[in-house]
Amino acid sequence: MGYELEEITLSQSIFYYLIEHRELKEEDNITLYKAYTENGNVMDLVKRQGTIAESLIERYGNIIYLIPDEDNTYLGFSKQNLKAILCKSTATDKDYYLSQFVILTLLVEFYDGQGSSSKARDYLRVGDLLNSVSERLKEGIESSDEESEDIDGLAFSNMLEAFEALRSEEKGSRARTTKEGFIYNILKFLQNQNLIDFIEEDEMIKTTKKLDQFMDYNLLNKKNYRRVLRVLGVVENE
Amino acid sequence: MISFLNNFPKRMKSVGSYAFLFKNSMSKTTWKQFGFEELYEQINMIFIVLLFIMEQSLKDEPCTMDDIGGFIDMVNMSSFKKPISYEECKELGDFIINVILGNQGKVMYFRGYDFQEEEYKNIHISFINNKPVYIDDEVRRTSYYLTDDGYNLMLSTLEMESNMLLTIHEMIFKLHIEKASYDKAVDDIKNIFNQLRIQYQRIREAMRKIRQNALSYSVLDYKLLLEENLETIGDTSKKFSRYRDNIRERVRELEEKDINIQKLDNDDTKNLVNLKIIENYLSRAIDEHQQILKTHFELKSLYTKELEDLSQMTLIKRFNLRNELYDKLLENPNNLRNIEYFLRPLLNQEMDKTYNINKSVEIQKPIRAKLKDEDEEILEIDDEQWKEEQIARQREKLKQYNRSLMVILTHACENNGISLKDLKENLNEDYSELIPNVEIFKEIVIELLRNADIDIQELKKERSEHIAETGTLDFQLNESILDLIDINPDLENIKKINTFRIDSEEPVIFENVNSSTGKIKRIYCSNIYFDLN
Repeated sequence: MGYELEEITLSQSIFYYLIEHRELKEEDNITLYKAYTENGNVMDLVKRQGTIAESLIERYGNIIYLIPDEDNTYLGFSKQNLKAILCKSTATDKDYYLSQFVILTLLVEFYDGQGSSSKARDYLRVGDLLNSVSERLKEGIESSDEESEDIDGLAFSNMLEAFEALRSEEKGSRARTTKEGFIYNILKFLQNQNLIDFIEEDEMIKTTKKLDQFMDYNLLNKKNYRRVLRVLGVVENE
Repeated sequence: MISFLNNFPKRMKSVGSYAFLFKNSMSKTTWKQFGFEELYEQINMIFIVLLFIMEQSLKDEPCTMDDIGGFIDMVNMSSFKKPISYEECKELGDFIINVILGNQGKVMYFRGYDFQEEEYKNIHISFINNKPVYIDDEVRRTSYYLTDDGYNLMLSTLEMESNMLLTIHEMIFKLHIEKASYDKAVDDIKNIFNQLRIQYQRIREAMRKIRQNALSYSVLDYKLLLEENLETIGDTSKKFSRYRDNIRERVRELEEKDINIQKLDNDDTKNLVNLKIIENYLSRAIDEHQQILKTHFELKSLYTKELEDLSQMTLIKRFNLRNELYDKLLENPNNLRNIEYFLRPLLNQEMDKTYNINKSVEIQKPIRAKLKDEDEEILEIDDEQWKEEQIARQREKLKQYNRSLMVILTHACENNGISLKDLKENLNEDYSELIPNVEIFKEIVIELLRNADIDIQELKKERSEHIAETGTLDFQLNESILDLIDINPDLENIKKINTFRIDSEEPVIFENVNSSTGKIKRIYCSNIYFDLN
């Protein structure tokens, strides 16, 4: 198949734009957006470049996203990067897994729906999230079998200890040694990633359209179920 | 099929609203903490809060938890007299909003039987929603507003079908005008105006929903809304114009009477005032009507566009996050080790920067240009933060403008007009507010001189005719003047501002004034007079 030079240039511009901004909104750069949506060749070229860069170029609604592949730790976060951002510098793995558990609990609270969208609630208060995390951790202690706990110490009981060991302050404390501070830091990170709106003053968490779309179209898509299987260890690293 | 069961789900929606309200409120012990022991007390309180939110929504004013708490406190002090503090009132507000009305953020479905499809259908119910707003341009807060269902619930407490409302109010309004009971007509026209407002906000809410997720907005809702819009738009505009002419005529009659007999009796004066209020509301109603018309078309194109976007994506089959992943994880925590594999597509990492060695041999730029350079660098590092900082800076600057203008206006107001020279003497060498820096002061004075005659009434009228938010952070003389007058009751008496040069006099000299570049300057101004007559 032959491509025009102009098409190649456009696709390269789009790809660089995506590398820089990670998303291309119709209203932010209409020329590039139109080139992508209206010219099949350009779209094809951009997607190819995406594949080479170990990521997926996908349009949800009127926004084109660059989504790093699961194994892409250059455009996406490696465990070390994430840990450095989410936890305090002296954090152990326990703290890191706790932070992951918090994020996952947040997602479950929001996206438990069965309707046309998986979104099941409009907002979540920070306090409710805190309670939910400790409850689920306790649930986890009960439902996880003894054997799996012993392998090398990653157990809900440990995480719950780590979580409960964080001091609970009435208000205002943002130190990472308090529960609120720990959660606050995670929420700030998610807000910077444009996944949630977090209004500190009212302790209000709302999801953004981006997160809604990613959950509906990507993360919870049956096509991507293999990710779950891999997390659950059903399929070992292919 | 029994025909009287046709609209059953619709009825269930109304009933479901009440059912949820009571279900969320009943047997909650929280009420008792605040001394609301009886069911009726609780229900009264809920509806009082709902009405307050409706009022705020109608006025398009933010409604934060503080506002709600303050309102409850006020009502409690004046009427219920429960022994609860302001803080407790806020807690009560939080409880009513989040637990009772908001269902703790969880979506509410009431199951109603659909006799056409012979099955129970989920009917979605929500009373309030919230959005982030900026208070005083600075603090980010959550503001609550009524949803469609919320409006319907509140309207149904007045026992009227929503689409009949406008006509009924119109009828009553006409009757009152004919009977010349203008005080009642004022209430009616306010109601009519509120109806239009509600319709307008419904459209906006629908647009927000569609933007969020077009799939969650049903075609039936869309159809209903469009029909309501068309009905509202219908012939109301013409009717309102006719009413307005009619009212103007009456105002004129009364005013002429006023001139001729010199003195109207008390009733007529009241009538005149009421008629003027009616005229004002009618004008606003016509404006509102225009807005509805405009947004009606916006809604149509938005819905079409969003649906087109969606249709390009085949409906996606999804798995359930809780069953398929979360619950299994709870059984075996070791799976958390790989969890970032699942989350990674959500997150994007900042890239490392590459240092270009040529930077080191670049010609050194003077300090100021370098400062600018640094600004640009921040942009690369954190775009969002940079933008926020810029906005904050703009706001700070705008405040300086307003403070300076405030000094001029207050002094002019106190002395009923003042010259720049006298103003300088009044300030006793403290120019920090008047002249935050030379550039700002210069711009204000030039703007004032350029506009020469400013008529406040005229400006207000102009502003009321353009409801659309400007939201600009640049200094706009007219906007600032109006804002200052709105905020400061002392300035209320200003009707006109007339600024002119007094040529013959010596220049006014300000010493030790900052300029935006950080230098200390002395400035010479020709003397100027700020006249308020």
